[in-house]
Amino acid sequence: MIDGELKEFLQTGHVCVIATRDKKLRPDWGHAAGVRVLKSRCVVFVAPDSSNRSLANLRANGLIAVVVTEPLTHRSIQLKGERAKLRDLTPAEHKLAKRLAQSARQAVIEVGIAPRVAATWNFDALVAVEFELTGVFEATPGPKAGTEVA
Amino acid sequence: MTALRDLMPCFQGVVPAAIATCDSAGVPNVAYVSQVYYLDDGHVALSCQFFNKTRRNIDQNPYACVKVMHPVTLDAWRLDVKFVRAESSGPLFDEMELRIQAIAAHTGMKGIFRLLSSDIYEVLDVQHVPGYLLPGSSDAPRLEMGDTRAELRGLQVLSDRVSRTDDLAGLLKTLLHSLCELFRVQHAMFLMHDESDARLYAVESAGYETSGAGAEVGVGEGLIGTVAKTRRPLRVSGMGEMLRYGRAVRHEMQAEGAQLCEEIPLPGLCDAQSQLALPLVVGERLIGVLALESADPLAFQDWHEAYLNLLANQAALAIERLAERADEEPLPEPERPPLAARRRTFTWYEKDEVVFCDGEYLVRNVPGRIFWKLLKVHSQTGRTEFGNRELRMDDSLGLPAYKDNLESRLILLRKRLAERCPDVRLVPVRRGRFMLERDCELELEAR
Repeated sequence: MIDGELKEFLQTGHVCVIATRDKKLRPDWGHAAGVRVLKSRCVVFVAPDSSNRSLANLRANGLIAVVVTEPLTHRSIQLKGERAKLRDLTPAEHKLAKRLAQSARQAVIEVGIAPRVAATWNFDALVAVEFELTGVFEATPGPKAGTEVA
Repeated sequence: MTALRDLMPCFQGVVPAAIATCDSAGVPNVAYVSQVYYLDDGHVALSCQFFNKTRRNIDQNPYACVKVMHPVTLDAWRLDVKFVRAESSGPLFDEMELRIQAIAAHTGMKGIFRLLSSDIYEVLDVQHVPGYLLPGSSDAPRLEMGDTRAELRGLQVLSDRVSRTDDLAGLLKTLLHSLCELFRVQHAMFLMHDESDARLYAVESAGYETSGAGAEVGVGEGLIGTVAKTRRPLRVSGMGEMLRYGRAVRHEMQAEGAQLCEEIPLPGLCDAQSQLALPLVVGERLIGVLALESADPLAFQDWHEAYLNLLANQAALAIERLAERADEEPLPEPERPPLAARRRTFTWYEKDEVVFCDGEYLVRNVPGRIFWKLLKVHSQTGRTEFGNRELRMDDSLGLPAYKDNLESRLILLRKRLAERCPDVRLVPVRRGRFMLERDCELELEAR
């Protein structure tokens, strides 16, 4: 479903935010270090300390949206998914998540955030959230935002 | 619950905010918002530029969760909000639209990229997000107003100085240098409005490496031109982020085949991160724009806008007063000492109405016509003292019959000469009178 340049963009390590909702349809956001793209599934590495509500929502209903944004250009892609499951990261994912987190910090340094401040973003003890992809959408601000890209 | 007013730095647009929504079927969505506007302790307004998924979700389910971040520490807060209404006219809409217009004007998307509505949300809860930063990271500092009495005192001192100045050049210099001295402004520029061709031209500046005198901006172009057109102050923090957002939209619109204009380069600092532009208005008339810049994305706060707008109003009246004073009578021509052997060649290009000095651009339009007239009279008759009145009476100069800004045009001309040709000077001698002084031989040619 996702390959080529799009896969590369998603796995480069940009700024990543997730959205979930509870049973009353109250939305929430969570903070993530980045995304791993599988064939028809994705894994997002979520920072649990700052995303408690969203993780609880995911356990309850498994519905997720993930937006990956390159701060310098605002280029953004949104992933929609269902049947999300929470699990520990594999050793390989630990390495990948560490690289993605470092790259995300670098991405905000590029737009003027002080390196010592970027270094304080908490990506310790990440949780892997694996979900089935239901859609991939353009999310860059502009007239095409919301159109399906894959 | 954190008070919304304690999060003011988060609403400056330096770090983009995000909004999580979900539709009536429960499918979540997350998007970035270009502007979160503080309304009061129970409400915020979000800018809506496109009828996108967020907006469609809100129409189905009014609840949302907004992420705002502190621009200095990157710490985060969670705002649980509920949509109240969308406004597409009125004071709030106008204020939010001004910023969008400025982005659009600057990035060549005027009339294409615009605010659809200001969406007002009730804030149900505000929570600091624990663990967003690593333990031990500093808490978000509150950006205090500082010593209000000191700022008020600064305003009074500046106001006194402006009131006491009795010539336009002195007034503009005092105004800008006092802003730097008393309000810690790093870079300030005054642009005079030329009603005859709907442009603004830089007359005086402080804090820049070069004076920038003569730099021009069209009314409606870029940030300064937008302020001139709307006659409303505009404060932009995190200009880098604002322009990145604008450029992203521009790129997307171009990909869709939209016909866009060129991006307008900012006059002044090339790395400006914040700008405060204040219109100087008397009655219905725009006198000019006072533009302050800083490389610090958070240099200008609410209070700067409020205080300095008071000052801008006073400066506008003072400029108007000084520009309208009657000229004094001429004195007999003094004896001139012999000149050095240096020679300057001034060339007048009739078609383009531009004066070059030794092959390099000097000045154009009305100040160019004035200078060329002075040079011609001086070289033909030897006269050195000139008066504003005779310039106003000369139809060939194209000065407007009413409110001609002659003084500011002469200030601009003096600055250009000081920078490009210090051998020739226009030195004020009395009210409305000035001397053409030179330390070189003149050669004039018209093409």
